[in-house]
Amino acid sequence: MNRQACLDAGINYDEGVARFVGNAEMYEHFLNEFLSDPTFALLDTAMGEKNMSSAFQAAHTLKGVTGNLSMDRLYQKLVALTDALRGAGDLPQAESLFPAVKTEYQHICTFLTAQK
Amino acid sequence: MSNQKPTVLIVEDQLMNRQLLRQILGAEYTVAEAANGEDAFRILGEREDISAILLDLMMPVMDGYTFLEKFRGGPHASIPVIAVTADRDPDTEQKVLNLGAWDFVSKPYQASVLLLRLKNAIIRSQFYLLSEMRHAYEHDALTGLYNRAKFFSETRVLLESNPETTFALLRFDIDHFHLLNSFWGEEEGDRFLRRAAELLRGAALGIPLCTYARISADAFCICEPFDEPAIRRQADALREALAAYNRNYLIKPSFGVYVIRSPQDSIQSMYELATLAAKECKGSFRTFLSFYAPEMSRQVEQDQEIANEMQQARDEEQFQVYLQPKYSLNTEKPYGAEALVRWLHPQKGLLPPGVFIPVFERNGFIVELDFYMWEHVCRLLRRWLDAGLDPAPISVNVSRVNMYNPNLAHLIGGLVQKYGIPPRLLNLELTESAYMDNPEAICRMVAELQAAGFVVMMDDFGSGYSSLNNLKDIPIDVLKIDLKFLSGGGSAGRRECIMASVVDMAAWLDIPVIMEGVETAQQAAFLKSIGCDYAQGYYYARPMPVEDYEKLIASAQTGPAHAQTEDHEVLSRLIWSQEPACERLFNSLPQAAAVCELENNEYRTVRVNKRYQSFFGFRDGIGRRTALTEGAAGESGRRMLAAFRAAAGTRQTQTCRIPLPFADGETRSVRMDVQYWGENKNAAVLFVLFVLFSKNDQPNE
Repeated sequence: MNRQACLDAGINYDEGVARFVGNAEMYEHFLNEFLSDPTFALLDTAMGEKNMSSAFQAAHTLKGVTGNLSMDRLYQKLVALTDALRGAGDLPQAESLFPAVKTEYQHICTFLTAQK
Repeated sequence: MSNQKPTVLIVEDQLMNRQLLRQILGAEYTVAEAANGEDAFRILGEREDISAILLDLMMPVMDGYTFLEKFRGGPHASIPVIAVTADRDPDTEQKVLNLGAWDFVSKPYQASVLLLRLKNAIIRSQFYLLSEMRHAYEHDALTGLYNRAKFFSETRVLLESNPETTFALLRFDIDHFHLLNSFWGEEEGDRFLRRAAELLRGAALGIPLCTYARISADAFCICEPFDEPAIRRQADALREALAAYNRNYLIKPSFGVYVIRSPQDSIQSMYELATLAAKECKGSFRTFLSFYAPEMSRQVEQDQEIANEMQQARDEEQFQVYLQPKYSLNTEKPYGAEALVRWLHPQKGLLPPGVFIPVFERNGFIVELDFYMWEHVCRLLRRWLDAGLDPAPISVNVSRVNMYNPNLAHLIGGLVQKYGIPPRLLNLELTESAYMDNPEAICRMVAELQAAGFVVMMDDFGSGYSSLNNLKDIPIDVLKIDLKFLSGGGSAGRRECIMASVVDMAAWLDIPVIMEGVETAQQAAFLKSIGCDYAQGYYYARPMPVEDYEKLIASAQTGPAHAQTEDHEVLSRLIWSQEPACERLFNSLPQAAAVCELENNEYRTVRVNKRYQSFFGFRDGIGRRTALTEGAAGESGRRMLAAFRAAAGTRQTQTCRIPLPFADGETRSVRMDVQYWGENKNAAVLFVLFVLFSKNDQPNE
């Protein structure tokens, strides 16, 4: 995988590798695995149903995953979304934030697919 | 600490995260994985080697918080848990720490931070474990007080830090605690011990310079500055508080105090002396506090000394057989002897049995001494037989312990066989007090011994409280009674009366009696008068070495005194039998009747029938004699005696008329018909009928 390309795609490649204790191979493997991760689909559905708690769970989980993979741009957006969904939640705010999350997600997926 | 990598349990639902963590931890740790809380508990149940747990808080099935709540009360609660939080807010962190997590790390994982926190947590937990172990090592598990070792070392420190102060050890335990424990059950017994510990702790609170502990079982000890009144008050208060625990039971502590005058001694030896002092209070309800005194140690030392020397004494034959002859009261000659042990100690000289027998009974050596004595007496008898003599029997003592030896008959039987001694020459003296423990077993033993041909004597008859009851069941051949049981206290008449009755009773049962401890001529004379067969005691001869005994025997003619007639057995059966026919006959006689014995110009009443009681009006036992004995004074007595003697001498029925006192205070003329029935040893047995005199009768002057 091209390091620079990742950086351009909003993936902090160096940090990611470092997190995986220098095991670039494992890191890249999991980057690829991200494509089959079902969490975003759950988030999408929950937002569509205006189900705040399910959306929160999914957003929180996705936040964790993207954080571990150092997908910085997507991660930051998910942080904001998760906060908006937390507790009682602010649905309008969440709904306003979600499109950006979705766009970023699709970007990442496109990028990763191309890398294969 | 092993060289193996410690194992960390990861509790995380996301596969990627698990793999990531495995990657991060893999170099330093072995990793176990659980996808949720339930899974984690299962693994904890299966493995013993988890050093730490990394716990994700957000999980399906059982989330991290729930896991923590369940975890902390459980058996694994000492394993450090590091919570992995995605949210870095203080509330979460606080909540997590409150639930018992040792630390937290945040997502996304930062390998270096994670590894550091993990390592710290593991090290901290090991310190904690060590200190727990140390606590267990130094403290008593049940009560939490110091244990024995810790107490000794802490007391040593206390003494050394306060050289100007005189300290004392107060040590107490509960009398018969093992019994209380079995009444209450172990759980309640433990509860009591915890209470005792609490009381001790309370007592120690007010004393700045002290150490205290539970030493063992029910033994507690406190070391405090020596202040006698204070210590007595303290013991009193403790005693009262302990008794109050359960007043349905007798909870009695024994307190021993040892005052520390030479602090350089080992604490253990001081504790042992305090224990020795406490022993003085055992068995006494009133004494519960005792101060150690050197005499207590001396007794223990003496016992130990004797124990140290006993084997050698036996091997070197320092134990000597002394013989105390028994005398026949009829022939006034010696007949047989009792073998008694003396210890001819090379340094200490001749030691009497009182010094060492109790020690041997305590430590069990008595069994060996018994056998030693039996064998030596057998050798003696063998020597006499070989010299062509006709020795009288020698009796040997059988200790309580040996009386319960199922092999006893076999053992002694083997011995006499080995030396070719007729068993009747080795009489066996069994002490009465041993019968009380298990009369049935003793009965069987005595029967076995008799079957083997031995004469069995009951020693110290009358010393136990069930003598009469035992006598009817146990087939004893000879009774030995010690005069000292009959001496002291009570009126003189009563004592003599009892002795006479016992000798009489023994006579009817056909059991010879040997009286021991005869020391004066007066005693000897009295014994003879009541029909006692044999006597043993300083008045006749002291226990003497074998050579002296042999000289004594050579210069005297000996012979048994016990003689009987066959009449006697028949009579005995008739008079004393509980056969309904005989009873009814005697008691249904329309006349007052009595059975009397005449011996050497004196008579006594042995038995009277019911009619006799109502005839004279006397109801009680004493009255039984009164009618005849009162009348024995003066002229009446002389004539009664004459009639008795005539009846005994001629064996013909004699009749006489004599005024006798009645219960209503009147004196009336009574006709007595005296019949001779037979002999009982040296006495003539007479049967007497009484009738109120009427003018029609011819008086026989």
